[in-house]
Amino acid sequence: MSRERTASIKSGAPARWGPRISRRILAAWLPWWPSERLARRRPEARTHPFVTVAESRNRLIIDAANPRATRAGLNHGMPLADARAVVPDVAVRPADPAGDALALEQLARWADRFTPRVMPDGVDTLFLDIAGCTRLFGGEEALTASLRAALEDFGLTVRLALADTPGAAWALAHYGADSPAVAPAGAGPSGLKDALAELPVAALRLSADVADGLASFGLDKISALFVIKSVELIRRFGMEPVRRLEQALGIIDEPIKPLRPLPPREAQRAFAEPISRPADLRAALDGLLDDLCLRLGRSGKGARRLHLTCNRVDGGRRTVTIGTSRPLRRKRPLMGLFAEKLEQVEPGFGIDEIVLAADVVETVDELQIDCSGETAGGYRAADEEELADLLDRLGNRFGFGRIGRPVPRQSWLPERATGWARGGGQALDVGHAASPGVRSRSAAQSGSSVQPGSAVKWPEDRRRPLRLLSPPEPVEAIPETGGAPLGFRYRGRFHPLRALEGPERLECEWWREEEPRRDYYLVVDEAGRRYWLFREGPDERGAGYPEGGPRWFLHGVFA
Amino acid sequence: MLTVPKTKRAEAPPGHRRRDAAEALRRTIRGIEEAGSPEQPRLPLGVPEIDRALPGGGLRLGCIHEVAGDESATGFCAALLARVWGNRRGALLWLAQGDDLYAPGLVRYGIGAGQLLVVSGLRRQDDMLWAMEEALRCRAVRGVVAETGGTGLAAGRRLMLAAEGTGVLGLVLSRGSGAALPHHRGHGDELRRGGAGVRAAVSRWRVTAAPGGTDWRVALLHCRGGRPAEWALSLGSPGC
Repeated sequence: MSRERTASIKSGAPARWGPRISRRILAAWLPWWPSERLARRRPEARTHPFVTVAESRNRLIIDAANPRATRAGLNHGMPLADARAVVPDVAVRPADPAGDALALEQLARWADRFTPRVMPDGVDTLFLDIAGCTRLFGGEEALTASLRAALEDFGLTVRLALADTPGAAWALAHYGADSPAVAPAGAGPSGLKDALAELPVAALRLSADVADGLASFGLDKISALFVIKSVELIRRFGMEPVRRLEQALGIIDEPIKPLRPLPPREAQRAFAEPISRPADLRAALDGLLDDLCLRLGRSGKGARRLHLTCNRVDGGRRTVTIGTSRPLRRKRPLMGLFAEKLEQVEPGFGIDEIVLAADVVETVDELQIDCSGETAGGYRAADEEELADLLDRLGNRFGFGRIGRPVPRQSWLPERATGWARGGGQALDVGHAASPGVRSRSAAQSGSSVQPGSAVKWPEDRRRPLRLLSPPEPVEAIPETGGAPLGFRYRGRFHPLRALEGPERLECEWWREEEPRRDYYLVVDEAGRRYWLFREGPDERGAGYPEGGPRWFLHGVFA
Repeated sequence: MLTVPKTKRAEAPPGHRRRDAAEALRRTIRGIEEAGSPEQPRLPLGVPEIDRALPGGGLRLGCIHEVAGDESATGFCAALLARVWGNRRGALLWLAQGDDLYAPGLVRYGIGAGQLLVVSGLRRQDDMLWAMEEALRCRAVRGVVAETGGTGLAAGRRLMLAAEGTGVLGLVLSRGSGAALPHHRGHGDELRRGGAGVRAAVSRWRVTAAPGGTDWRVALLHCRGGRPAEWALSLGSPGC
């Protein structure tokens, strides 16, 4: 033993000595994780042969298979074409390693009900350090059993093992004879040696070529490694087998890095007596918002979306959702947004619990204000906030998509010349990052009417109507020749023209050839009203008009 | 108890003094007429003829004005918005019934790209009134246009109270009377029917296209403390 220690010190392996805190590691191996994870949403992944495939060297290679496919002989690394030859009706999905990892992390977060120290390992294993937590569950066996029952409820196959080191627990979970496999607690390296002796060397989490190399020397069981000097092992196979063996035996430490807990973004309150009066509900919400805003403030975040869930005595549930145009953690505006929606909550026989959760949060950019309470732009911070609050209220009632600023867009076609910078809420179409209030001010401040960052402008030398019809409405121009009209008939009413200006020829972009060119006329009728008419198609020298002469449309009205 | 303030300038010629006294009287009367509401700043329209007809030399801010007419009324509202914005801070809000407001056309009236916040598709009258009231209560807003017809007395009064506290200019735009686009006869044109209308509105305007050489015919139908009048207005005049 001492020899092995020396080796690891010399090689500079990360070793920590001294009295170790006793640990008890529960390893949960989910052998069919990718397919069983998908099976929760796609039942055929459970009932049919099912594989996930990844592309490798222009071939589709099986990444993971479910038990039925494995029984039929489909394995990791097999080309999909071969697999189809064996099982023609195999169900196939693209492999999603990132999704698997994310789901595993979520499962690890769920598992923090057993211990706060949970770590996902690799693609399909969870380590739970349950030292000190067992008494809450009535002992190791009870905890292990309840974890197994819960995972199996999820439809997951699981193999469990308990040992003092993550390495030993991993080995027993993957290669142990039974599940849960239990290595005695506090046994030390010698006890773990006994537990691991009969397992194959692959149980030491070795890379495939090292495991193959060891096997080619006839070293197929872990016990075979015990008798070889670590110096020899290092010389032939590098540090890996020695390090893994020492980790498994607990000679060198292998830390568990628990997932960092998500900051709490939820506040809940239960009532001894169910409440049903709106005033009570408001008061309770007020308290919850206090809690939540305080917590959000500590983490420097603000809420973009909040759900208020009211659980009723009769088992019913009402959820109210509000959104904000920027991260918010001040109680008053949030309360205002909720106030308009609280009426939708029908208390029924009473509400006995309310839960307030911020499910979308973002970092708050605090405004820098000087002594007089003004921001860098010279505007009152309170004004900016107030405008944003107004947009929030409007957005929550009418939908954030209906509030915005028309901004120029690069196109000559009138209907395409305006973009819509979303006033409140999500990403802005034109790439302005700041909140709407800030944007209006910065535009004003720079003295230009066009927003900073956009070089596009509307043509200033051309007259554009105040109202634009979409789509343009067909009118009957008189005379119906290609020339300038003398009058037009729109919805049965004849408008004789007094004056006219044009034509202004507008064509769509060359890469959109499907639309004919347009000749626009600003026409004034006898009553003095100004209209924007256009004639579709080529001019007199062109290829001629379609059957029945040119088509005329009314596209807009001037003031 | 009403008193006419004495003029300080004892040596001023009698004609002068009489004018001062008249001015003070007018102010007193205006105070009575606007009883309960704080004195609000005025927005000169930049057209001397019109400004002279308006009490205080301009459009009163912090209250509701109603503008009716055809599409020219839209332009008139846009020009007023641009004027109230001036070079001052604050947002301009347009509460639109549909989505046919065409922003490039507003540039001519002084509202640049990206300056106007539009809430579109407010087809229901109560949505419109709610949004307008919210906007009028917001100090960060300078002017609001709501494309709604008549509001009724109670709702108009609510809007007035909302605007009073903040000094926001509220414009109620009734489209429909002889509108160029017949399908925009949405909300009733209360003015034309002589119905309740926005009785609470401080002034009521009708702006229509002028058949002559000028652009608009602007009629001041009613103005608290002012006298009805009518003008022909050309768009060439700056600002309005």
